[in-house]
Amino acid sequence: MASLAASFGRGAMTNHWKDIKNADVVLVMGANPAENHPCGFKWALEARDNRGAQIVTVDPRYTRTSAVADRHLQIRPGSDIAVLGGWIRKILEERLYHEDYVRLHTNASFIVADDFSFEDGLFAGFDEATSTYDRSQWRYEMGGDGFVRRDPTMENPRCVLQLLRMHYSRYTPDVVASIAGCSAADFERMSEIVCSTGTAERVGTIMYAVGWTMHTVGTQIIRAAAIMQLLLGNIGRPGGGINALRGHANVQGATDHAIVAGSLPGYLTMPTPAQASFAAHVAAYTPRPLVERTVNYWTNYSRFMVSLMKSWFGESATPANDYAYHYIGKPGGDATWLSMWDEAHQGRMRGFVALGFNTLLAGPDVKRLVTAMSNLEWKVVIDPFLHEAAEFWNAPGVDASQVQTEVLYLPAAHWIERGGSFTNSGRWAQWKEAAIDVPKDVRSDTWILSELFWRVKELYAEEGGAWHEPINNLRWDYANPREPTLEELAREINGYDLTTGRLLNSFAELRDDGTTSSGNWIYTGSWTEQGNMMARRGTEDPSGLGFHHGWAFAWPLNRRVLYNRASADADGEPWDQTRAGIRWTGSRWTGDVPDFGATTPPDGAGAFIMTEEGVARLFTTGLVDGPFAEHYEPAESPTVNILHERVSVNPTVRWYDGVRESLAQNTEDYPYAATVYRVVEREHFVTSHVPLLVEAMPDFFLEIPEGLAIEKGVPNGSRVRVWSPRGEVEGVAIVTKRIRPLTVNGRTLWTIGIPVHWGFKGITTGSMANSLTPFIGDANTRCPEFKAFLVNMEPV
Amino acid sequence: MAQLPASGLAIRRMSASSTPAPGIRSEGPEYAKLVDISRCIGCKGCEIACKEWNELGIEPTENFGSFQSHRDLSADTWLLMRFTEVEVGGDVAWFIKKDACLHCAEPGCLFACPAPGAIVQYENGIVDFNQANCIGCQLCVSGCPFDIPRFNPATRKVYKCNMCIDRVEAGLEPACAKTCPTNAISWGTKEDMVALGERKVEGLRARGLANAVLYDPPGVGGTHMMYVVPHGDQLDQYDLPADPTAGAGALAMLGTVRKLGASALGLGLLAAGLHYLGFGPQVPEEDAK
Amino acid sequence: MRHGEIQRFTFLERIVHWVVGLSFLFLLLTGLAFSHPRLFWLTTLAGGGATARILHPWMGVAFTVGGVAMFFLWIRDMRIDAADREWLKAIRYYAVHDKARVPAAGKYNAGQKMFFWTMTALGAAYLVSGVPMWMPGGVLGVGPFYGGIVNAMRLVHYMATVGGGLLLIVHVYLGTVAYPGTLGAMLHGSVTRGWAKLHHPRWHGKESGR
Repeated sequence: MASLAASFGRGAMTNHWKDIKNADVVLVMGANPAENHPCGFKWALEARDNRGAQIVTVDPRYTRTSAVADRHLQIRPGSDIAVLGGWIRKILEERLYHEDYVRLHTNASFIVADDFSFEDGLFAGFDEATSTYDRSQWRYEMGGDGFVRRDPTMENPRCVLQLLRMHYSRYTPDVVASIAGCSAADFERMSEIVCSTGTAERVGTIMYAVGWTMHTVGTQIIRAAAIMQLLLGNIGRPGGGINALRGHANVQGATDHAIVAGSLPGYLTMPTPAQASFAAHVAAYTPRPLVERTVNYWTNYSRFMVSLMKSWFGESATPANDYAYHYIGKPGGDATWLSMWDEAHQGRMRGFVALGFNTLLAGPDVKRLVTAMSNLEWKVVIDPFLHEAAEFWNAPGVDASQVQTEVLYLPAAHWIERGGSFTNSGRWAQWKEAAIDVPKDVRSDTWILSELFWRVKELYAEEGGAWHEPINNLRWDYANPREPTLEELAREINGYDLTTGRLLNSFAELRDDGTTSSGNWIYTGSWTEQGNMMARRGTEDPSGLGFHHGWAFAWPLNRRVLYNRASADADGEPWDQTRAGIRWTGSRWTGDVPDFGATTPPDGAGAFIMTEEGVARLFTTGLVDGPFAEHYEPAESPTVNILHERVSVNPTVRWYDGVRESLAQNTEDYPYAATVYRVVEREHFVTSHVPLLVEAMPDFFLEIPEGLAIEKGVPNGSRVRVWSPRGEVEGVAIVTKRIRPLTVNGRTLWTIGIPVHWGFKGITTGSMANSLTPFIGDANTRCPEFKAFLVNMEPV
Repeated sequence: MAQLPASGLAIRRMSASSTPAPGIRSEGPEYAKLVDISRCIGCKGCEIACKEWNELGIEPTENFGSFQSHRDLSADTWLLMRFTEVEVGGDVAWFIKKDACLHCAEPGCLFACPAPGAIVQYENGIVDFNQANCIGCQLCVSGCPFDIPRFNPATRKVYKCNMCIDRVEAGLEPACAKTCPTNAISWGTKEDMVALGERKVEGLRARGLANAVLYDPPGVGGTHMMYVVPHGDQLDQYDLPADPTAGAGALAMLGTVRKLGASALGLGLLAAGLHYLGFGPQVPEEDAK
Repeated sequence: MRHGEIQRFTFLERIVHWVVGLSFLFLLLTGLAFSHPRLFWLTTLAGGGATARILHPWMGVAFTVGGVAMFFLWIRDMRIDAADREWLKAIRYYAVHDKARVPAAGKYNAGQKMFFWTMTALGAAYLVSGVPMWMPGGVLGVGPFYGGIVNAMRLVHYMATVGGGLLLIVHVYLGTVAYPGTLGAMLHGSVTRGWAKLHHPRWHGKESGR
């Protein structure tokens, strides 16, 4: 998500599920939607069957998606950037890019200042001591007018397009093949399909998921994809985009509502200790325009932030007290998953509240997590099931008598027992009804959190204490203050005109003078005076493109395809008349809800209203590890980085204490690449408790390539043991033709597949896949590198 | 899905019945299910929906080296997704087939059944087992060219997919079709489904799958679950018989032999009677004195 | 044994005969019920279709056990010799009660011996074809038999049934109404001298010590 924001301005799936039916090419990479998103995946099949679209999969395994795809390319886990880089090179070398689009809607023509460089695996500005980049060395060259210098011919060797060409010139098919392990010929055959959409008449989409994000270079994999899609002119167009498929029904909603460390609702930013005043905070996130005509929508940051503070603290947030800015914590460190548990591992964390989250099975390196959890004084688990994380002391190999942590378990209602809204991957907030009753003695999350609030408040009243204002002044004016309803919360999130009490229709109505409130500005318009927009069920689709504006509510402002201004050319005419996103009539835009001023003429501003450039970024300063995506090896890799041996792994990853030692040191002891994944029959760890789903996929298994199985004497259905330096698993071998040998950097490499759904609780128990995975994560997001590591294997 | 007319349950055929079928009118169309294998992702949603709707028992399973849940169909598993890895032109392919009753127009099970009314074929095309009349002989299993019915030793009855006849009767599609997330299972009139299947096959052929076929085997009079098969040249790998026939071989001979046998036994009785009339009893003379 | 009569069958022989005979009758009637819808009502006599299906193979076991016992009890008397061949040549006279032109029979005439051997062969056929139908899922590691095997066995079983049925008609007819006095041999074990002289003159002679 970080990389989509860095590229386009917003960190969300650009298009939506049904729009995939409009594609000509569906590239499925870093995802297995047939397995993990079976309902949404039907739209890819619709594109295939109704438009003759090609579906292609690129994956370490031939998956259930591959089973219905037109072509499959097997690659090594963690080699995605090499493959994408190879395509970017091909698109540039063979001029397969959509030139008008690139010139108009990207920063390809922007001139980059001379201090930027890339040498031996490092971009300019690298500081060895802190393992960070000084990103000020990746800047544009500014003209005398205060705006970026541009070369519309895109010939200038310092323009972004030429720098891009130079950067990816190294990614020849042979290099790609050597890194990814496939044959150059197979790579080329796939390239012919993937690189075929750089015209006005053709559109390609990408479906990706955590197969991309869960790497030390996860953010940059998505960046590479963004660059490719921008070159092909596929962003903003129906049937195009980069579609981030979310793993649970409401991950997008949770992300929108600040589940990501460092984020406030609506992708506002958590204040830092350096931002002493509200003004300083707002200034830090209010960018200066870089071109003459740009909407640069983040100039409205203060309106969203003030409205958020009014929503939280009501009357207590006033201009005089900086809108209660000092009520908000300003964390110095990062509170990402890995950093949090590293704190606990080092004995610096006292307690932990896990809400709807199996914290033991969902993180890498289970053994390390058990140690970290054992260091806690207390742990609260709020969940429908008494799962592994609530009984971590019972994990295999743990001596329970040595664990002193007090664990409190609060049985909570499952979402199927609750109403409310889900926001799907395509940003559609859809209201739902409870399907079954909540069991006896089980409480909703809202009741539990509300009780927690009241009891802390009562404690403050009884005992006093430091920093009581955020609690005492929290606005809590619900009909039943002990259990707010989801409807009340939804209206609060939408926001009010505080003068009239009217529900707002649009975040354009938000003000930074304290007269409006909104719990999450991007959801403004989701519950208006007309009612609950999320509960709408209109099925009309006049365009035939699947916009369905009368169905539920899509943020922002019921827009269905983000950046849809880019679906049209300089004059506002759609690139493809049969797939018009929006169209300029001479006085206004028609079609989808325009991601642009409704009456702003085509040349009035750049198409990407959330960027200070006004265009999408092929080159960005938004990420910590480089303005262009570069292939780095996984932390645990079967080969050195053949592009730059000295900088093999992403130089900006954070190495937690003791992690280097926990990695495989050579490929003799750990000769096989491994990756983890889910299966469609199970939903993460919850369904271990559902009899029919356990029946459908009973036991923990390991997918062993047929050739390796023969070599090691592993009959199908026999038991095998697989281990990494961090732990081991044992399960039934599924000997398969669907994983073939790769040739990586001249050596034969086998890949082993490991599903994640098993633990020591539930109807069937089995090995925990994350016993094997390394405790290291992406340089930007700290998302753990679950997807690429090394193991060894033997028959049991 | 468009609302279909509720289906009447006029009976077309009844097993082991010597009188004409009791159904005297057809109240609605003949239905069929079309399984497009090229759209099936093997998610087993249908398998689970089948179990839920029909309230079939949970069967403890174990992984036997496959993504397949059960090794075989059973009295409690009427629908099984079968997974087969094959090589097609040097590339690997994963054939995933929904295995369940095909509801033949000429149902081999029904022909083989000795128990009156234990197997019924409705005018809507559904072939249903009525366990109340089943005598547990399992001859239907052998009569089925697709090896579908399964015996439950505990109840001594045989079971199989009933096409969710209770849903169909109410104008709803079967549970599997309802639940399929990729629309790989279509439901409609037989006529419409054949047309749809043929369109799908054309589409697949246009996409380079030259051997794609619509599987609606004439040897059993066509089926009410048809398949769109992408690799029609490898039917055996999908576990689909190339040319199934109902009541073929020994069963076909049995029909004729039975007529002869009944005649022979009848004639035997008749002959004994006539002999008696003609020659009477032979009484020992000495004893008669 | 009645006074003045000649012992023809021992108690054991009579038991074995009726085990075989009654089980065969049950098997025949239920078997015909399974084969001919018009006769399915016969299963009602056996407790209904499902019960009939359960009992039929067990009755088959009784038939088989009895049949084997009978085989060993009677095999010594069932050798077909030259006299039997002569008898067979004259069978058409036998059929019309013209005993004068039929060679004298011993304890069993050639027809009875043929009946014995045919029933033995049919019994083997019932067993071999019946077991796969009884346990189509397989038995003792053999099987399963579902499909072609069961269907073929079903044909064999039925054809054997028709053969057995026809023999039974002849057997019962001759043993009851056609030759009065015969049934008694299987009820109380003895026959009259006249009966013996008429039907089995050589045996009568032997028994009379002549």
